[in-house]
This record gives sequence, C-alpha cells and structure tokens, in this order.
Amino acid sequence: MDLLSCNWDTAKFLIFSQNVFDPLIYYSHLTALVLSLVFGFFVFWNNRKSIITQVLFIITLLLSYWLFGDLTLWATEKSYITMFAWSTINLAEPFIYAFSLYFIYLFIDKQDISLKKKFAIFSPLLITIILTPTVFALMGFNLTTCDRDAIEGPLVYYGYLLEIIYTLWIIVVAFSRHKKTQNKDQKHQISLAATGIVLFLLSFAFGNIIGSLFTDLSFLGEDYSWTIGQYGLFGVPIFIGLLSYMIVRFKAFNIKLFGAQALVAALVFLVGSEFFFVTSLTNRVLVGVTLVLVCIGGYLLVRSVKSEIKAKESLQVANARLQELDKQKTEFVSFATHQLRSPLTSILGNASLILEGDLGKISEPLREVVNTILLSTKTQINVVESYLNISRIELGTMKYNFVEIDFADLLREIVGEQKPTIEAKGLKYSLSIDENQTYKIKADPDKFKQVVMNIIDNSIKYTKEGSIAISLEKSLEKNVGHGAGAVVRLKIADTGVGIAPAVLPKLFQKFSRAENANEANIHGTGLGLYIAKQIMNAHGGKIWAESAGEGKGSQFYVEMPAGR
Amino acid sequence: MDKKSKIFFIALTFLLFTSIGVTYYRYVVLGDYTIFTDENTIPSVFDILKFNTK
Repeated sequence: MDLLSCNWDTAKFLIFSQNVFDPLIYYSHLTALVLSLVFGFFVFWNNRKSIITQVLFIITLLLSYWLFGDLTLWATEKSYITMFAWSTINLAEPFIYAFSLYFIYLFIDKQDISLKKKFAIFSPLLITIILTPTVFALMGFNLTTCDRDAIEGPLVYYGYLLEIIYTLWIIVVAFSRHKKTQNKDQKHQISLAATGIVLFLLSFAFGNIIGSLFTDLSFLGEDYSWTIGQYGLFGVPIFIGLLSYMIVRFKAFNIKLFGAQALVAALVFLVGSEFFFVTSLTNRVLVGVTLVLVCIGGYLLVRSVKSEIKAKESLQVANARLQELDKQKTEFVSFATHQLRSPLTSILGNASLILEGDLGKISEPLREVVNTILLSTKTQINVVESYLNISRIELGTMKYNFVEIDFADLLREIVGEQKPTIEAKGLKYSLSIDENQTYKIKADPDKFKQVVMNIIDNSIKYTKEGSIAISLEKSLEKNVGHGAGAVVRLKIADTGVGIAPAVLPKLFQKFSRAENANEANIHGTGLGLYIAKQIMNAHGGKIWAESAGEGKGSQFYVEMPAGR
Repeated sequence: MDKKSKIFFIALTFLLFTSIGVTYYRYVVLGDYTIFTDENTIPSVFDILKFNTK
C-alpha cells in the first residue's frame, strides 16, 4: 500500500479536512482550544507578575498546543506532520500534569515551592525531552489501515507512568493540606481545586491511555481505539469551568476586569470581521473608523475598570489594617482596665473600712468626704467592669458557667438589694410573681444577675417620680432562640423619662445613649445595655425595650427559655 | 521566583525547544521514519536494534 492509494483529503490550515473520523466531536474541541487559550491569556494579562497566573498560562498554552496538535495529526494527509505532531503532543502531555501539580502547590500554599521540589517535579521530564526525537517515542507510521496512526514506542508508557504519579501526587498534597488547615473556606477551596484538576487530568489521560493500550477496539462495532480519545478532551471544559467557578466563588481572579476585557475583545473581533464582508472602499473606511473608535473606547473602559479595582483593593487592605488595629485597641483596653481595677478596689475597701468605723471614729464632714469617695469609686469600678466585659466579648474570651437557677428567687434577691435605693428616691414599686409557677432557667448566675440588675438600675436612675412595676410570668406559647417551648419573661415598666422612637432601635448598640439620658443620669457610659444584649445572646434569650415616647415611661423585657 | 528557579526553568525550556527542534528536523526536514505498509512487519515489542533510520 502506498500513500496515494489511501485517497486522503488535503488539509486546509492543517486542521480542516475530510480525513477526521467524527467531525462533530472532533471540531467541537476547537471551542475548548479557543476557550482555554483566551482564558489563559486574559488571566495572565491581568496579573503578569503572579507566579500562579504564569503557571496557569503555561498550562493553557500547553493544552492549546496539545489540542491543536491532536487536530492536526488526524486531519493532515502528510505522514511527517502526523509524526511530528504526535511526538510533540506526547511531549507536552506530561508537562501539563507536572505544571498542574505545580499549580496546586501554588494555589493551596499561596507561595512558591522550593527549588528542590521543582527539581523533583520536573526532572523526570528530562527523559521525555531527550527521547522524544528518537524511536523510543515513535517507532514509525502505520499505513496498513490508512488511519494515519503512528506506532508508539516505550516512551509513551513512561509518560503515562509519570501522569499517574503526578495525579496521585496532587491527590496526596490536597489531602494533607486539607487535613492540616482549620479554615473552612480554605478546605472548600482545596477540595474544589483538587477535584477539578484531578477530574480534568483523568478525563484527559483516559482517552489517550485507551488509545495507546488497545490498538483494536473493533469489538465495539468500529475501531474506536483513537476516536474514543477525543471524548477525553471534554475534560478541558471541566477545567475551565472549575476556574470560572473559583473566580466567582473565591474571587481567585478579577472577574470585572476579565469581563470588561472579554467584552472589548469580542467587540474588536466582531467589528474587525466586518472587513471580510465589505467590498467598497467607503465601507472599508467606515469599518476602519468604527474599529479605531471601538479600540479607543475599549481601552478607556478597561483602564477605568482597572483603576476602580485598584481603589477597591486598597480599601480592602485598609479595612484589614483597621480590623487589626481594632483588635489591638480592644486588647489594650482590656490590659489598661485590668490595671485600673486593682487600685480602685483598694480605694473602695479602705473607704468602706473608714465609713464602718474600723479605723476609729471619724467626724461628720470627713464621713461625707469618704462617702463621696466611696460612691465615685463604685461608679468608676462599674465603668471599668463594663470596659472589661466589652473587651472579653470582643475578644471572645467571655466565659459562661451555665447552671439551673430559679429566676424568681434571683429576682427577689435583686429587688431586695435595690429596695433601699428605690425607697430613698421616693419611688413606688411592685413585684408580681405567680407563685403557682416554677421559673427554672439555665443561666450563668453572675452574668444573668448583671443583666437584670442593669435594667432595674436603669429604671431607678431614669425615673424621677412615679413607680416601677416588676413582673415575672411564664408563657407556653412563645418561641425563644431556635426552638419552640415555654419561656420565662421579666417585665420592668417604669414611669420614667421614656425613650424616643428614633432611639429605640439603637438602644442596645455600643455607646448608644438617649438624648435625654444625661438629664437623669450623667454617669452612664452607653455600654450597659450593649453588654446585657450580648450576654442574653450567649444565653439564647432575648432582651428588648418598648416605650410610647419621651416622658411616657418605658418597658424592658428579658425573656429566657424555661428549663425542663 | 528566585534566581536559581529562573535558571532552572530557562534551562528546561531550552531543552524542551531543542527537543522539539530536533524532532522537527528529523521528521519534517529529513523524513527520517519508517512507514509500515505490511501489518506483519509492525513490531509488537520494542527492540532498539531492529530500528534503523535511513
């Protein structure tokens, strides 16, 4: 048999001919080629200095070459082109795997690998490089069937061995990094990147290995041995799809800039293609002018998107820095307040000793002075305690000791403690608890008491005259937190200064104080209710306030799930 | 990327393109490969001694 007796079609542009087996499947991979090349180019163009984009660009270049070479070797009627394309795509193939492994390292570790590791990855490819031009790669050209097959030598099996090793290596790296990291988002990224790359490489290898190992698959009806390999190329869209998903999900690359550049490129391509259809000089000039305008407009669009992205990136950096500074500030406040509390406690203790007469009798004027010192120190300790609580909440170091307590007993104790203050202010008060009910709740006794004390204390402070009505009830109908069931609800209603509707939504925010708050209490820090809200959140309960407006009193509610 | 890595990749790229160049020279310029026209002569096992280029 000679070359002429095969009646092969002459290929146009190397890849278009009647020689291919299944044109639809075959030429559908032109899309993969263009997609991979365009994608790699845009990602690289956006960030040319980043190693990860450089590696990705190399992978897409190798992939595009592989796709082009594969199209060429089947479409051409020239045996030497088949031999050359076949040899070089077998050379490019293990490189795609090696660079994919390098890519995974860069993607997961976010830093370049050592030279030693690079050497370990790429040095096995030296054998492939050296032997590619020899008979170890291709033994000859098979003309017996007119299928334009090359006869592969042992080097191709060495290549497949390398591909298996690289794929397993990727799996091992992904598994070990996945196990090590505690970050959920990072774990998700690793799984996604590794799954996508491994699927891509396996589907890519699948067709080629089948073609190389089974030279005759005629039992399937026709000889599918090499045709089946074409289906493996569907792995390319998987790879591109994965990268696209990562762009959207993790903003791994800049989608906005990518979109703008793709739009401009498509426009330039569309307008440029008009040149092939217009015949008159006038039309050509018009198309030329349009093309120039599109180029200028496109350039300006991409430039403006670029500057917007730059501004956004610098804002993100500034935001991260601010968060870091905020954390440092919280740590400093925590440290400073700790240092302040010790001397204040000492002053309070000594003032109490003087007032109680443990250090001898004191004159009335001196008693008044010491009493003022005592009250001021108490206020100061409360402020320091508030700052300490804020620091603990913000640093996440607030510790809770949840035990079952009786809300009714706790409330009676607090009201008993506050009774002298209420009476000293000339206010009326009432405490209503249905004795037939039980009010068991799960709470940290000290912190929960702090919440209840805080709102009763507020009611006393912000009520100049009138009354404070405290009631505790159990309801079986309401929901608290995530579950449904019975709740215990405390209501504290006063006839005090009230709260303006505009202030109500901000009442439980940090440093939030009503405009009329200073009229009744000048010592408030605006932290008490914020801390109370945080503590209630940690308890799975609720705290809220209602008021008809300024001067119309207010009602505070504390709701907790009833213990079983 | 450090300098040694750059040198490593430059050397690798050089070898890669040399290999492609030699392959091109052998197949396209010299046409140095065997065309099997008889199925019985296609080797089933690789034997380096059997292969003589023209």
